[in-house]
Amino acid sequence: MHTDARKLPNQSVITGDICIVGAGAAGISIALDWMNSDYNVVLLEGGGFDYDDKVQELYNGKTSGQKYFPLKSARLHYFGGTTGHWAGMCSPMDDLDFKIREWVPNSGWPISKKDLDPYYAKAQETLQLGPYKYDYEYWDKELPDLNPFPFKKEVVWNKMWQFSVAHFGKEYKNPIVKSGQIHLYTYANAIDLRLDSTKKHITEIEVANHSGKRHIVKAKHFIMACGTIQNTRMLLASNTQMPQGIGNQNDLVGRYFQEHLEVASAELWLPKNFPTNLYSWTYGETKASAELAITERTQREHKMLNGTASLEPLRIAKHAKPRMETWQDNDPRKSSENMFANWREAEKLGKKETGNIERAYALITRIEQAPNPNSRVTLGTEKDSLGVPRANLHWELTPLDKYSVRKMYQILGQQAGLSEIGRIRLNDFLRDENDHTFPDSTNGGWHHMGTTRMSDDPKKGVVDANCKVHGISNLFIAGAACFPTSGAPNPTLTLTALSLRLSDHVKGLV
Amino acid sequence: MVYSALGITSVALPIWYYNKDSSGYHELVIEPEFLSHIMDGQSIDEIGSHYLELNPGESSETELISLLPEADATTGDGIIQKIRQEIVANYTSGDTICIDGWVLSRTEARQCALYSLNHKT
Ligand SMILES: Cc1cc2nc3c(=O)[nH]c(=O)nc-3n(C[C@H](O)[C@H](O)[C@H](O)COP(=O)(O)OP(=O)(O)OC[C@H]3O[C@@H](n4cnc5c(N)ncnc54)[C@H](O)[C@@H]3O)c2cc1C
Repeated sequence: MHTDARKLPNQSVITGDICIVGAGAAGISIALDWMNSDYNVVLLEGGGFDYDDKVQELYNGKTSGQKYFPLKSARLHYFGGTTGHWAGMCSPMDDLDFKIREWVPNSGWPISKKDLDPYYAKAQETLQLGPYKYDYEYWDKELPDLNPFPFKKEVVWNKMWQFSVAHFGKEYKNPIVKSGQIHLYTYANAIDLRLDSTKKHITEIEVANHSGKRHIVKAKHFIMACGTIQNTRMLLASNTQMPQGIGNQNDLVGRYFQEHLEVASAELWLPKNFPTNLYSWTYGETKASAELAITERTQREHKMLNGTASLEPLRIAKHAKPRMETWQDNDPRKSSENMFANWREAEKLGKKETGNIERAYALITRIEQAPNPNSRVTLGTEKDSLGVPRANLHWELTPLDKYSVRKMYQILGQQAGLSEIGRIRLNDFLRDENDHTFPDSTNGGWHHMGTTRMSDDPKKGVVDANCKVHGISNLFIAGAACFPTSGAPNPTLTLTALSLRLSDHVKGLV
Repeated sequence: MVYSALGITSVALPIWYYNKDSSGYHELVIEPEFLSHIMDGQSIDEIGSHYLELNPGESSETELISLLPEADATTGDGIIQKIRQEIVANYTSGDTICIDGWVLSRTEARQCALYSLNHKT
């Protein structure tokens, strides 16, 4: 079922067994999981089925610290959420990502990779990926001529990826609109979460839209699935009954904001051609490909963060501008156009490059950011057009981040040398070992994580192992905000798996 | 046999050509063979100069030669082979040095230095 909340009489009361706020990757995955249940599921979406600048403008906010994308264009605010812009790159986190690592402050999840495995398998289906197989050996049998670089297996491994072309807005509009169990309300922006007198239970959520309508949604359980920054903002902005915001009794909501550092970091020069199909991918065609990853043993030895390096032909990559430069328009559609236009131009110029460079690769880092309490989302003083204080982001990186990126290429450089495959050259920003800063050209992946981190201990986390907000009996957070650490891979596969696990848990409660 | 992509040894030459030169070491020692396939002589020269700046104690030909694997092989193949083994050994033991961003083995960095000294005008 679908209702446009602008067309409801003002002050309508909507009721359901569960209420999911936000129809992006997390919210839609959960809703689909309830499709064949006997329960009434309310799915609230702030936008409509298409881009609407007035709604998108609600995402505007200020950034400080490490240069970042404009907050307005770093996400999408309509049905399907940011999957309308995503590239579909998927890979699960590693075992190590869930463990406590003494050299990474605030690391460790209260769940293990094993706990998530069945949900990863299920998430593969929602994201329309292939089988839940991410070992090189499997794909080596499936795909021709993978031919990996002959690096030492104890040091470097091939981390496999799969690629989705599913945009949730297109894929799942019909099944959801036609469902008898799920009632989707578009133009239903959550603006306030309200508690009962004990302040331990959410009773209702107020929603609003630009037609001047306000409605109330009542349910037994509420799942916030608005994306990391917006989930955080909602908790902080719902501060009439709890002045610090909901779930923020330990001043943790908004802290530990993490991104993936995606930055051109080094070059790999080969003395002769090395034919391989393993390290490249073409959108809509490639089933699986790999990035070079550092083994757990080596990470432990060097006390470094978990990251990978992807390969791009250097003759093209040298002409590509950093995405942090091309994605600076406030309008996400224009930013996207700018980025693709620059890539097309780089491809054109790259074709003219000849000589040794034809055998060279740019190595692009993809690495977790160390959890840092000072890297955070806070509320601004300005309010949006629906009266909600805007979210501001202060993105702050640490010396461990820089050390880890540099160390990764020192290790790869050593491996390239001893395997006699080539030589690695570190990019300028990594050469001075005493320089802990990152240049403005450092990209994020538009991956927002960590601001309602998961921990069994309420003093260390906002949500528990089931993504329930500590201290509130019926409020859950779905999405990458719950990640205590961010791992190397892009977050959507993991956040979908975690959301499906949360969904299972809530099924046991209703 | 093509040993190097740099000027002097980029063409196949008879084995008798590869003899010790007047300064007492084999010409091929000054040619970082692997690097010559990915960069030009000027870059090798620059790496060599930077190596010399970073390692003032190794700034003479004699010193550098004494630190490089003994080039006692009589054929070009033998010299190349020996240096190549030494380079791999450097990478394996972690005896690397970062110059101009390049992660180089100590041996090839010294070869660049020797190349640089030989190309001073
Ligand atoms: C250019 C780009 C490329 C990307 N590529 C990849 C990739 O290759 N791989 C990968 O894993 N990830 C990628 N991502 C990230 C990926 O899109 C996100 O991780 C994912 O969409 C997050 O899912 P989500 O459901 O948490 O949030 P979203 O998808 O952003 O969905 C949130 C939903 O909540 C709605 N909403 C917000 N506020 C409210 C409110 N107050 N009330 C009601 N509804 C509300 C929004 O309209 C939206 O529909 C990319 C992102 C971008 C921008």
